[in-house]
Amino acid sequence: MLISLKNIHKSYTIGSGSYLALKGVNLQIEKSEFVAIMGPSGSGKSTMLHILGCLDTPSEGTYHLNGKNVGTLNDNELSTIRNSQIGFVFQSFNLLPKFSVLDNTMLPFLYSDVPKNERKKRAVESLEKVGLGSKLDNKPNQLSGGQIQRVAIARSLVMKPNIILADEPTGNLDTKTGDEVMDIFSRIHSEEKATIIVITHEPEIAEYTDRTIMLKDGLIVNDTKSA
Amino acid sequence: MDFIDHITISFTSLRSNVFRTFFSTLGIIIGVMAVVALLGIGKSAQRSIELSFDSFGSNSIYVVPGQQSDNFGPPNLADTFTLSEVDRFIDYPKKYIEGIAAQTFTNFRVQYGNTTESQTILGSHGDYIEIQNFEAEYGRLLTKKDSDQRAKVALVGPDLIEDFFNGENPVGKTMRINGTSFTVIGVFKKKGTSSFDNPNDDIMIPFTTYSQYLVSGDNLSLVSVEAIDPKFVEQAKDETRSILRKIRGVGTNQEDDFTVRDSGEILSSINQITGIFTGFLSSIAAISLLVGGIGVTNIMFVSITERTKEIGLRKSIGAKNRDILIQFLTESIMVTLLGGIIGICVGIILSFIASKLLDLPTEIYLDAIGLGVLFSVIIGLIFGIYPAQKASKLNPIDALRYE
Repeated sequence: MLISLKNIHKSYTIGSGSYLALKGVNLQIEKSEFVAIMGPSGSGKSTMLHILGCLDTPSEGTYHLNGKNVGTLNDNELSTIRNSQIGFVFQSFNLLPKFSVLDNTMLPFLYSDVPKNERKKRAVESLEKVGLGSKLDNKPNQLSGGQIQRVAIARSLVMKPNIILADEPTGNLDTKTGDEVMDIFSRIHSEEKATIIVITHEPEIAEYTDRTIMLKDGLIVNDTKSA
Repeated sequence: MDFIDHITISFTSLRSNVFRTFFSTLGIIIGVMAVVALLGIGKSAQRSIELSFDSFGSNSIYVVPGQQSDNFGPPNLADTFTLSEVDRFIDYPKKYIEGIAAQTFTNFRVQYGNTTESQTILGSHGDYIEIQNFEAEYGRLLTKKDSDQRAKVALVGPDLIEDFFNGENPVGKTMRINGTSFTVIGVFKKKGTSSFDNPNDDIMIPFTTYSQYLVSGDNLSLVSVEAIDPKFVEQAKDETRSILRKIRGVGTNQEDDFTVRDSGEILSSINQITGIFTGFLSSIAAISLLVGGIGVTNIMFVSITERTKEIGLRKSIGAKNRDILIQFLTESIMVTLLGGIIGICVGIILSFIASKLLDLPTEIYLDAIGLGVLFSVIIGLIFGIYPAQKASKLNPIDALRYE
């Protein structure tokens, strides 16, 4: 089992009160699954993403990632897990504007122990997978929105992570380029056997995946696998 | 993440803000420039003072008229020495003194060929040539015979060959000082100079001639005395004082109407003045470095706020707090180092110009460059650590959401 969440609670203190974002989530995700997490805003989607991505730790409950209890790790260990096991794709892309496509793709290597002489080769491979092998030296502002998000996907792939976590990856794109981006996720899933978790509020995006988890008010209300 | 990665990242981000980088480092530029120029000029001045005192010798004693309470007050002209006093001093039996000289100087119009210029005319008496270690470059030096005969002869400084005699060797030529004809009998070898004293463009004549043809009266403004050995300078000073008191008829209860100093005292009082100057420039340097450092802190906070999202992204893809800390610290050190390097260059240029203007020997001091680099790195570190620490402690989730 790649991901195992047991009775996850997450509360935030806001001023003097506290707010419960997750109220006891149990979830198991196998290796190579393609999952959509859906829900209206305020349902706890983002909190789920942060906990799954080891950007945050649960207030209660246990999260085992690849057999390891994440709750017991310190800041540096969580950084290492984010670097080596998780690839993030964001709604707002988050490329560094001053750096070339290739340098943006190589960014995760900076915080890894991947040997320097392998870095470029692996980054180019990743960019070829998303169809941007010819744009290595371009700056992000020379690319379209769809291309920018594909660079971000290439960046999430370079470390060969266990999980790719995409947070509303098509939220800033029109339908057509959104579909292109989802096609790339589908292809990576089938070709690389990668585990991909997409957070979205659009049912059409969820249709690309094999399993849809519905969150509402901090609890899983539905978990369907498509045929 | 290694050192080169950090440098590359910082360089990329600084390059995208060239103007801001330059202006934020202006304080450091001025501060380091002040440090480098200060050391350069200060050391040149120091060296030139020492050089000129070397040529006088460390067993020299100076007597000026009047009681000087401070080191650099104007001499009291009413109490100048007369020629007969100096001659009596020269003839007086002495134990610790081997040479006595006296001098005075005034500017006169000097005519040579078609040129007429105001020049410093120095009237010398006694063992002046020996005490001041003059040597002849061309011709001969002034002698006691010249003095006894009140000869109209002149020994000229080497700088005058170019500046006054049109590049010709003036020995044997005639010039008119204040209307009186003088024959140039020699040119002395170039002496060490300082900003306080440059003998190389003086015209020297016997004081006896000076008092007969150029001025009325026989007042000498400075008496130099040479001790038989540097270790007897104190005894020679006491001897000078007691003999001069007798010659000048100073009563037992009266204070000296002259002041006796040795070259060490004069050197130390000059050093005291350069010390005040140095202290003043140092405090300007320190203030600019402080203000510059605060400017760097400020600009780093601006930079970090602008790049909050970048920090969030870097953390989400695995940057540890330490990585972010080092990234921004490298950046602030590069800003101050850049300012330091510019400051060093400007400082060196400034000390070159100042040395030329003040006619001091010019040298590049490696320790000034080293100090400039060291200061700028330390300031980058001190004033960059707080913003870098704040950046490294940002929560990645909040940082990613920052707009």
